[in-house]
Amino acid sequence: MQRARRDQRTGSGLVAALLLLIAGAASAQDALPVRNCTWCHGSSAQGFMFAPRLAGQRTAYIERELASFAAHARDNPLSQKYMWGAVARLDPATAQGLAVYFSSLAPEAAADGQSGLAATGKAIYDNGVAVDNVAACIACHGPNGEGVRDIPRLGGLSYVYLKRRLEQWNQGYHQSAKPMPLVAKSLSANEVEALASYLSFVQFVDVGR
Amino acid sequence: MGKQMRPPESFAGVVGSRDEAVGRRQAMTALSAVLIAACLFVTIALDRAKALPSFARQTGQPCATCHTAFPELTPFGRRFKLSGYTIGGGEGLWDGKPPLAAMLVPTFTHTRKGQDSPPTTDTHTNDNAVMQQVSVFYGGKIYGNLGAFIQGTYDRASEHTFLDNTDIRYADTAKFGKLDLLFGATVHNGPTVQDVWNTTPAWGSPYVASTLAPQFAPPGTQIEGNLAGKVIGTTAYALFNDVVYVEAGGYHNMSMPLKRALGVPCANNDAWVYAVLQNDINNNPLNNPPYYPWYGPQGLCSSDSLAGFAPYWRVAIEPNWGNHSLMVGAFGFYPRIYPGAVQGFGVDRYTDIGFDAQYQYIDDPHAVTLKFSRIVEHQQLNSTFNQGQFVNTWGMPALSSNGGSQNISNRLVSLRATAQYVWNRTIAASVSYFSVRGTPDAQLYGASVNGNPPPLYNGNSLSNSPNARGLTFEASYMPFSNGGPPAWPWANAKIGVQYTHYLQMNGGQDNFDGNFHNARDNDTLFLYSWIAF
Repeated sequence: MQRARRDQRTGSGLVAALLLLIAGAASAQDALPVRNCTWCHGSSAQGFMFAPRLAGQRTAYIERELASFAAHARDNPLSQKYMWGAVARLDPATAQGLAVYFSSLAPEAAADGQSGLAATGKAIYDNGVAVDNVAACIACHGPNGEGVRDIPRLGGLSYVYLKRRLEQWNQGYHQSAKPMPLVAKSLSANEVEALASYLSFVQFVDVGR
Repeated sequence: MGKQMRPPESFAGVVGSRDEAVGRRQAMTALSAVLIAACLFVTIALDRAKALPSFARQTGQPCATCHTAFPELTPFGRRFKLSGYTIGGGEGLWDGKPPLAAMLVPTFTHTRKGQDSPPTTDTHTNDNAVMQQVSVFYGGKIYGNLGAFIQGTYDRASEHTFLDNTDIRYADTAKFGKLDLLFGATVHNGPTVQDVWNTTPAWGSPYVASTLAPQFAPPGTQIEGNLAGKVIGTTAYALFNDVVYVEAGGYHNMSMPLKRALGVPCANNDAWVYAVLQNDINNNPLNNPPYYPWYGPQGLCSSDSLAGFAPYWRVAIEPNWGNHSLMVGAFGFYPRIYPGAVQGFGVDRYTDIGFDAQYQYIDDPHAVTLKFSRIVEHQQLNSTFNQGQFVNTWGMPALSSNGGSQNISNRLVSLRATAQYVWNRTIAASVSYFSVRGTPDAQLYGASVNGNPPPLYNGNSLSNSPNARGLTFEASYMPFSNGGPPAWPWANAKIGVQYTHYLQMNGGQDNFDGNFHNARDNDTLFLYSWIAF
């Protein structure tokens, strides 16, 4: 019986220690339903599986895309499956708050592309493909893929996400996101892979939100 | 819903001389009703679909977000559970509808050869169509970061309503420099009920199985359900950077009044108790020891019980990239047990160490899951052995579940490997290989034939072996994964057929027990419909 009581004390101590830990650990985002996003996009919103990184993304871009999901304009299969339901009850003020919050987080490069294709990807990104009438990405997305206003930050996004987005424009999804459907249509499969690979390695450059 | 244990023998009564043919006709009629109802349910116009309906309402997500083929979890589903079932995004807590759900599991069971006697009082030796299980759930947030999965079940085989798988947890997140932390604590009612990978026993394959068959089933390790629902587990866990998972805690015995209050089915052995009392009265050799805490005003319950605190630990590494998820992990459980809830002979000490691994590829329309687990159990059967010696000395009948052992130290190894493919979130097919290997023990596993009466031989193996292995094939259709009925869009359903083929049972293939039972006689065809709303 003494052992049983000792064991029970051990268990109680464990729980007490845990509660202290819980009480002491600061939750960074009590006011916003951030965890409704990060359970799929990663604890630090750095991306998780095929869910893209939100950290460091442009505020205006996040807001616009949330509206696109709500309007079902962004209609690729994963958006339909996950995001349409996720934003169905999201009010504009909360959407704006989430956009500001995630844009404030320092992003980390996914670095999951094929390093051997990075040089080719950088050439396409910087110069376009003149023979195929592909404009240089740098013109809109900036020299480090940092984006501007509602043009998204591409630098460091995951290879899987970037590749899928470019492919899906070419498959007819989300055609309202002009001019990207036209751009994607002009890229070959190899060029898409090279671009996605290169961008996945681009490091964060802080130029504001 | 977790796996169902075969009902204890105490619930298996004896049926009178019911006409087998009539019984079979009734079974087929009931089966037809089940299938027709299922088909009607399916052909209703479709809308968005969900998993456990209350979770779906809370998150606004379809079932496929958290499940490949429910209840198997995706990486997102694992994080939902680790987050304490509190993730929102859909309807708010008590926003029109309470976080409650219900589930019906009508089934039909056919074995290659009929059982020697009906498994329950009003079923047949074969071809049983029953409403195997009815469950109600509280699933979702309770308040703030506190949430729960609470399942109450009516089990047709044991004819009991009891607290089934239950997991109440608090979870939060924190960041320390570059370290992301998802941490929490859980109180639950059985080892691995709280685990988030479907490689561990409580939520492992098969996800649903007949509770009426087969007649012979291989023994399991302690962590594989012997204590399910009868203990209180308290563990703390942390997930670092979405990759490294650690958990530690342990289990205490649930008190008898609490077990009774929660409707936990107990094994009992009236004959044993009666014999003890008679022996007590006539010979008085049994007063001190042993002590029978299960006897008296609290009623009879000779289910195995924990002696003190049983530690548990779990580690896993789960890298996720793109459409891929890989997990390699291990877990340990160290119960000290009073077999048959009898004190006074010492305790049995078990060491269960499990190794598990899982790979998932999840995309549309294809999803693949490969799972593997191997649990090695070292048994130090002090009490079981001593009880066996005592039983033999005094000519007592065997205890209900243990009955003594030939060896003090035994080993049992349980292995399961499963491959599953899911197409378009609606059609699933899987194959599992399972195997149990262990130390031969004449008293634990030996058959009581050829002049070897109980209590010396309490098993069904001529070779005194627990060894068994087999294959389970399963196909299922989940009509609402891409849309549920408009009237109740959160509904979910699964219609499946499962066939288990036994390659070996009780250490043999043919006539493994000396009573002309063959391993393949246990081959089980199981049809089920799993309806949640």
